[in-house]
Amino acid sequence: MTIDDLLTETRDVPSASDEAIATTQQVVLADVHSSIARIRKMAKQRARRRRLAGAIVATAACGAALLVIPRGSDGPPSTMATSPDVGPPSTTATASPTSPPVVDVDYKNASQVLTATAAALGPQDIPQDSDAFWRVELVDHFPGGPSVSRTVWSSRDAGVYIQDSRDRPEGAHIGGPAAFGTSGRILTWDALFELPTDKASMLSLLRGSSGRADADRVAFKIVFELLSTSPAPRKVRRALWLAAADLDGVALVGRMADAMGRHGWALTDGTSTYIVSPETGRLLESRYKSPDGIVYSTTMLREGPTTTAPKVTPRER
Amino acid sequence: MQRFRREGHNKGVSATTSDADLLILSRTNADAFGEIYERHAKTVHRYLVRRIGAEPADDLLGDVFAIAVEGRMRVTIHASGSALPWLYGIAKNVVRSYLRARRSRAEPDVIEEFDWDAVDSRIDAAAKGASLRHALAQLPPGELEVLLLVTWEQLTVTEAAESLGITAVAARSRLHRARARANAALSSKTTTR
Repeated sequence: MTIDDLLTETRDVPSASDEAIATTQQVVLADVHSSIARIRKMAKQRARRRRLAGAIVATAACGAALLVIPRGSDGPPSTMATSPDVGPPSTTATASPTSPPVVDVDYKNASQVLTATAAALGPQDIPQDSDAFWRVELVDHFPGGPSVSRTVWSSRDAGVYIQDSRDRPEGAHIGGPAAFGTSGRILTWDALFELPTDKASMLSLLRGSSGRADADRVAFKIVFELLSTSPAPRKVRRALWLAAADLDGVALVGRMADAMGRHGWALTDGTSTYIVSPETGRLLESRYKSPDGIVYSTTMLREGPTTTAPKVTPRER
Repeated sequence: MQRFRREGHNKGVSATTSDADLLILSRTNADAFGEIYERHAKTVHRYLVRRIGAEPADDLLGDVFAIAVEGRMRVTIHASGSALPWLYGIAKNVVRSYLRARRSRAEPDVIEEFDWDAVDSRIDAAAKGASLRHALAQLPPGELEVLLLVTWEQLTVTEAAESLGITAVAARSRLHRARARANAALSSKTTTR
């Protein structure tokens, strides 16, 4: 008999009761909430100090600006006019000698961008078999660290696989079944395909699901989570984009390029910013700013149906 | 009317989010830490039961995660992507403190790594229990811990190294020495009987 035999014999122990796990979980989560509250308080104090320092710098800069004379300009410097956020989007046609004219649309508000994005949606292939996969390829960007390429395969019956360049280069089977959504509202694969396809019903579902005062903010996050990772069919996507156009509290940031250099329009609810393309009907990138000012972002590269997932072998011990 | 299923998920938190990403998110997102807890609480509990028995394990599980809540701001997750080696590192210190307190109350049969009563209850013959005790008693604490992490907790050698804050080469070397030393002790006990 070897030491490994004896230790193997003494390895098996009973699992914790669900009650013990749940009781401790409540205590642990209370600790986390209290820790987060402390972090937020410190972040607020830091931000206040920064604002104060900024105000001092701005006051000093104001005096200096009076002495600046714009070069190459005969007249007084022009100020940028702020577009009113109402009225139809304005269009400008630009042409070059070698290419056909490009219509440049200038959107006035978030609703116009989202409505145009819904209109531009292309056809959507959907995995046909229950063990086929919806494959999403994306890149995560973390402050101070290298970007991580991530691919996720989700299927109705064959579970979820994930492969990423940092932690799981060989791929891993996460189990299943696949689920989509966020902010405490998760949809199964089947439920996703039963979502309403008209704007009014979708809006009612999104708003009614949370029952919270900030229902529109929650709905905004759910819309983009579903648009980014799920195989929602085209009609459902269209209803999601249109419903998002009617949500309160969504502001247009303006034109913005994503990490891949693709141009789109950025929308924000204050904490999450999304770059969408009204030309292709796609979400390009999402950015999340945590209360302590750290920005995490995910760039969507491509998505579509496939019948194969990585061949994953159990990790050797 | 159709309803979304309510679960404890939040921005960026799902079953597919890696432990490393969850720990970054958990700085300001309680659901992210909740997910870490759900993934690993039962495994950490088993670690505690193997060393100190079921009843104290229920109490100490909360201590391990309370320390993890504070430690999440500073941790760098092992290359395997699992938070378990880190959590085992915390659990090891919690067990030590607990056993040290018991020893100071002059309870015999307690070493700094585990409570023998908890181990003996899982072995089918008293003679085997005595052999195991004799073999493990020959091991320096550093070697013993690597051996237990690899055999009881099923960590890879590199994960065990991460848990103990040593290099993988050192862990491999300790594991080799621990097995050789313990097996030699088992053989000598058999031949002298």
